[in-house]
This record gives sequence, C-alpha cells and structure tokens, in this order.
Amino acid sequence: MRTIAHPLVQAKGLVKSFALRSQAFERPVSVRALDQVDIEVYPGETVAVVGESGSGKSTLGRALLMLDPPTSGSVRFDGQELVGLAEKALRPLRRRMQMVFQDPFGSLNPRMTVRDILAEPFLIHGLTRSSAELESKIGELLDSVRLPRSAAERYPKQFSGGQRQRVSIARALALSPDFVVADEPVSALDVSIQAQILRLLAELRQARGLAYLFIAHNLAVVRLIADRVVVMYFGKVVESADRDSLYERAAHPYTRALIDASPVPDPAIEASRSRITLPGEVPSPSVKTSGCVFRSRCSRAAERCAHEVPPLRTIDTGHRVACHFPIGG
Amino acid sequence: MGSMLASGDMSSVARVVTSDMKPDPAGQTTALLQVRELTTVFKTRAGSLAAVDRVSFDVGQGEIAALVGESGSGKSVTALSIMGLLDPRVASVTGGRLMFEGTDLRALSSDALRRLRGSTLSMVFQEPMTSLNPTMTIGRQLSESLELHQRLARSEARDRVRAMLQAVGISDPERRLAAYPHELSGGMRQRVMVASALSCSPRLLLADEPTTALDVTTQAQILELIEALAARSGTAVLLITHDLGLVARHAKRVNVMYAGRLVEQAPVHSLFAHPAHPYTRALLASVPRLDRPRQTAVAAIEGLPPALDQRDEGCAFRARCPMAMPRCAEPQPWVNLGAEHVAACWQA
Repeated sequence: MRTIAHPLVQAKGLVKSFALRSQAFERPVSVRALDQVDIEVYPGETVAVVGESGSGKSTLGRALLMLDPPTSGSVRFDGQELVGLAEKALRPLRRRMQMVFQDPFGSLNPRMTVRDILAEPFLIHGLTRSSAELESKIGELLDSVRLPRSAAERYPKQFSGGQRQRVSIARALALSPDFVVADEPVSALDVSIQAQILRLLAELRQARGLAYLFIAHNLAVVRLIADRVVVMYFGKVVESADRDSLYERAAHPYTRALIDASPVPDPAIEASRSRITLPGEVPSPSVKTSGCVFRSRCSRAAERCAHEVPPLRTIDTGHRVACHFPIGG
Repeated sequence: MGSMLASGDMSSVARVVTSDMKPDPAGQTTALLQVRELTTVFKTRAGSLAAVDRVSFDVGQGEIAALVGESGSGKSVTALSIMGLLDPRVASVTGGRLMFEGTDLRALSSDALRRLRGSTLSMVFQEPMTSLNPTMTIGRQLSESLELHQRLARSEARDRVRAMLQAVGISDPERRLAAYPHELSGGMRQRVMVASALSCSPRLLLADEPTTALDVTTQAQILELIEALAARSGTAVLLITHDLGLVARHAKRVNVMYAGRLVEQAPVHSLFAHPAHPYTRALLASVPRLDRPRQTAVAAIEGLPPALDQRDEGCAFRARCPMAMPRCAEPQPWVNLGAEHVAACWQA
C-alpha cells in the first residue's frame, strides 16, 4: 500500500495526560493516556490499532483528529502540523478527516431525519449552492452505503443497528475525506451484519482511496481488514508490524496473549489449545510504573524488565517491538 | 450431510421426523432441564408476538450447553422465561413445559420460584452493573443475599463472601468488599457476579452473554472461571451467546436459534463439522477466523431477520436463504441427521 512516499498522517511523540483525582480533596496526579506514541498512516492504507480497554487506542484516534488534542507531540496531516493550529485554520483540514463511532445510535441525533443528518456537514462547511445539488449529494451518499434513497425520510430509530452504522458511514463520507478513524465500528453488530459493514468499508476504501485508522479489539476482524497493525498497552505502542508478519510472528508476549485469548469456531482446535489465560487487567492509569508496563502480567518477565523500559526497536522489516525478551528473538 | 436430495426422494423422506415430533436431544429423562415447546409471547400494539416459538432443548447434569443466536433470536427471552424473570406487563410464557429436576417451573408459585433462584437456579447477565445495586458496597450486597437465602449470620456471611472473592481470583478481597460497583472494572464486576451466582453451588447456571462487553483477555478469564467453578460444584451451564468461538471452546451441545425458533441442535463437534441448517452454515461463514489462511472478505448474510409480526408458519430464514424453494413456505420438518443432530430444514 505504501506506493506514495509521504504519510498522510504522521504522529510523533504523542503524549496525552490528564489530571486524575482518586479521592475528593486529594491532590490530583497526572496520568498518561498516551505515552510517546509514534504512528504513520499512508494514503489508502488501513492501520488497525488493537489493545484492551484502557490501552489508549481510542484516545489515539481522537488525538489524531484533534478532537482531543494531545498534550504534547506532533500530528502532521498531509505534511501540515495540526498541533497548535487555531480552530479556524484547522477547519478546512477537518473536512478531510472524519470519524465513525462504535455506537451509531449514540452518535446520530434521534430527532433528525437521515436527510438532515447527511445535509449537515455540507451546511456547516457551506459547501452546496442549491437544494437540488444537496439532494443529489444525499442520494449519492445513500447509494454508496447501499441504503435505499427512501431512507432519507426516516429517523435513526427506524433502522436496525447495521443500517444505522451505514448512515453514520455515509455522514463521515459526505465531505469526501481522505482519512477516516473508525472506532470499533462493527463490535456492537451481529456477526452476519458485521460482515456486511466490513465489506462496505473495504469497498469504499477501494473506490475512494480512503485511509483508515481502524480501532478494534477483535483480532480476527483486524486480520481481515488491516494492512498494518499497531498493538497498544497502557498508552504505549508495544508492537507494530505488517499484518501477516504480526499474525505469523507476533513477538510481544502481549500480542501473543491477545491472539491466544481469541476463541476460534472449531471445537477440535479449541480442545487442543492451551488454556493459559493472561492474568489480571490493564493497570489503573494512576499506578506508578517502572520498567516494562506489561511485566506485571507477563510470563516472560525477568529482573531486567523491572528496571529498564524496553525501547521500541526494529526486529525485521517494518516490524517493531518493545520487549527485552521478544518471542522468537 | 447437505446432500441436495430431490424433495421427492424417499431416502430424504425417510430421514424426516414427522413434524409433530419435536427433537428430544438427550432422549432420556436424566436431563437436568428439559425445555419443551416453550412459547413466550410479547404483548404489543400489533398483537401478541411469539418471541420464543415452540422451543425445545435439554441441558444435561453438569454439562455446558450453548444457546446461540443473534439479536432478536429469542435466546435471552428463553433464559428469562426459564428463570421466571419476565416483566409480566410485557411478556409471558403461554405454552410448553420447563421441567427442572422433574418439576415444571411454570407450575411453581412465585415464592417457590424465588427460593429456587437463590439456591439451585442461578443467572449471570451481560452487564453486571444492571444487577448490582450502585448504592451498596459489593460486600454488603453479596452477604445480604447469603443472609437471606442461606440464613447465615452477618459475620458468617461476610467470611463466606471473602472466601468467594478469593476463589474467583480477586486480589485484595478486603478492599473490594468495601468498594462500590462503579469502583470496579467491568471484568472485576463480572467476576463478582460469577462468584455470587455460583456461591451456593446451583444445579444450573444461565449465563446470558456474560462476556460480550469485555475484552477478549478478560472474556477468556471469566469463562475459564465459570467452567472451573461449575466443574467443581457439578453445576450445569447454559451459555447464551452469539459468539461461535466461545461455543466451540466451552460447550458440549449446541442449540441454534433464529427469529424466535430453534433451527438446529447438535453435539458441538457435529455442529461445527457438519452444519446442516443454511442459517447455521451462513453464520459460520460470516465469522472472520484466525485458524484459517487469511480471507479478504467473509460472506455476509444479506438482509435482516423478519420482524416477529412478519413471520409465518414457513421457515423464518427463507427470505435470506440461498437454497430457498417454494416448499419452504410450509412448516419445516425436523430432519434427524443421527447422533443427536437435528435441523429444521427440508434440505438438511
């Protein structure tokens, strides 16, 4: 996918910290939801970000779109620095980057018809001259997400979950973006419907040359759709690699654990798999850490992991891992 | 399996169970739970709609069985019907039998059913927050239920609860006991619910999408926990889920529901090796898999399940079925595929 040398989105050293007060009147502690994250997305490429809740994957998506600007670090979109840019200067760029959320019901205004929902981006950005032009744009959007044009007259609650997600994808596409952050776009849908939406996303990418940041926790879904995968844990990137490299040669014990925890629909395979589950959960963000953030749950952890933060280092072409004792290495 | 015999072929007719005979999967009277022809109706402005339509299945002693379906399939309503937890203003069981250890649960008084729910029959839900009281500490609400159902003294109950939390791998139980539900993570809350649901060693646990809202790692932990605790106390589990991976990992016997009806029933290996109902096959084909060479797309099932008021006596899947034929508008037969594997399809 990387035929064009310049990344569309390039973030360096992203930090997002916020003040957390665990008890009333206690002095707030600063916690890091993103800790020195670097990420690149090339035009037309799908980069998946995976990790458990609390890994920072959604925060990363929102930071890249400047919906929740980072505390420090740099986000370049098509070469232009976004951090520190005034809202007015940001606006023309915002048209080119959009977001699709997990819960299309929560992100669609229930009092608006689909026509109004799809017209809104054009009106906000002052982009259509006549109502006939607007009408034809809305029609094209509905066609592109495979909804009947009659859907324009209806309200979100009159649709099924899958159809609502089509509406929110249509809205995200209204202004012909180059980059779409899709935050768990299929995880609330039934399996059979999930497959419909994944196919739609793949078609749209093909037809429009879209780049996606696909935030997900289902590794089987990610394998289907991603070109590259970034694994996050506790606000840090712990592994990133091309899709096949990651699934065939996962090097970080955390990545391996995520793959092993995913059940496969084959009882014969399941019966023979080891059932060693990853203990514990992502620590609370207020926990003070030293060394490797994953070591409290890691079966390979050794003395060194307690003292030394493992740097993200390249172990193969395009394959980076932050682990002192990577698997197979 | 799946041989497309012409509809007039005698060998196909010979395998057809007459349509008034319903599957009796275990075929014996030893099953712990026997659901027979369960029908649960929702009262709506459009009239009475059967969210569960003549559903029959068994759960054997100490076994893990699965009830599989997508949203609207009726799987959760089936569980609530068994538990007697339907809101009577909205829904009620109108037909069938729910034989549990030889007693028809439908014949029990609400008091008797409540006693059963605290002791031999138990349930965990998808979102533990809805079943926990947000204004009470974890310790108080767990020990209260023990005081109530097991008539333990307060201090005794508290000791039991502490042991219970330790048994489900909750570190620092003393601190968790003093915590309010919102102070725990989703995974931790579900552990607490599992601990509570299994604390009095019930005969049957209904687990309704117990891990759907959780991370895959936490999901694996919780289900391992349920499996281990159930095995220890001989508890049978009905795992209600849409996730075929979890079914393959944990269940021994599988029941597949679609639009309020059972469509296929089989031991787990037979179901995955030879899915016979076109819906089961399509559902399996729509799951992205990590155990196969990478696919570039999975087969979606086009369209949506019918609304309950649009469903007729024919096969509810036929509008989306690639194999549909005119005969599918008639009630489908149960086809016996041997080895306790049955499917409701003319072409199974």
